[in-house]
Amino acid sequence: MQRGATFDSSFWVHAVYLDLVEFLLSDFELICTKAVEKELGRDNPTSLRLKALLAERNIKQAAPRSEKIKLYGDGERAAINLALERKLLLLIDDWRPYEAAQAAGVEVVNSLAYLVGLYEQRRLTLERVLNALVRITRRGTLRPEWIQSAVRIVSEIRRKGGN
Amino acid sequence: MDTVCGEDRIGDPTERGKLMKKEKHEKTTVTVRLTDEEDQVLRRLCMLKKTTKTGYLARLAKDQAKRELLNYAAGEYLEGKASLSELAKKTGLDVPTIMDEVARIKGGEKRAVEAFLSAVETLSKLNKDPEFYDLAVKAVRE
Repeated sequence: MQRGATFDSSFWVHAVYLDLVEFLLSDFELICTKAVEKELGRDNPTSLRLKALLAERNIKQAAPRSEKIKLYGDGERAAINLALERKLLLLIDDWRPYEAAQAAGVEVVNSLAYLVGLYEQRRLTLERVLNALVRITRRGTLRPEWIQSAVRIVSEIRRKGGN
Repeated sequence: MDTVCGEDRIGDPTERGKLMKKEKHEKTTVTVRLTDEEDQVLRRLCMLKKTTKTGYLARLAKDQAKRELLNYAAGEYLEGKASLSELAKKTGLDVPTIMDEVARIKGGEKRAVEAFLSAVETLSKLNKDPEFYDLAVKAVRE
């Protein structure tokens, strides 16, 4: 059985940008909150991709029943609360709510950690991981510390396993 | 009448919904008082552009306000003052639009790519793995 996971808007934007959606669908039962769907807007490629997957029921929809965490915007708050309530993995790329969720006891993963995990499992080649890291570095929408840390881990995996 | 937009009111989904409906179906009257000189400049431009003063000012205000909302959102995010979700709520913009603006401002920053390559180079030397660095250089060039 697949593990349940929910995500925030920033993670979804990066997942589409880095072409990780198919991997996510095969690894998790993805659940999207209405608030995240709304935040992603209507007519951009990332929201259209999400809408198509929601329509095909490849991603399910849910809303949290309570609001244990009251900080941050609607999408992040809904995703954190849903993850808390259902013990879901939270896929999140915005560092402030990422840290708040972690402090609240939610298991969190950002897009780079997921990318590195795919490399470790040999589902992505080194070339592809480095390409993704360069693209995200150029884009500048993720914390540089996270990127540096991903580079270190990739190098370590390669040293140990020869991937 | 000039009003100061209350963030909480605008941020409230119900109010935002009402505002959007209002945008679609109704028009709000805003009175702008111009000096003779300002009016003359505006009139000349509108004659040349074959548009009305009202239409011109409305479009100008909307476009400028949207630009400033986007600048505000990207600036606040880059300074670490607010999350994307908060900014989407405050500005009414969607998250991908704000992230694209952040990418436009930050994107192509040579320093970030240089720092990336420098980290790879250090690790590559440390692990006696020149291929690691070569592949990173290749990825940068692509």
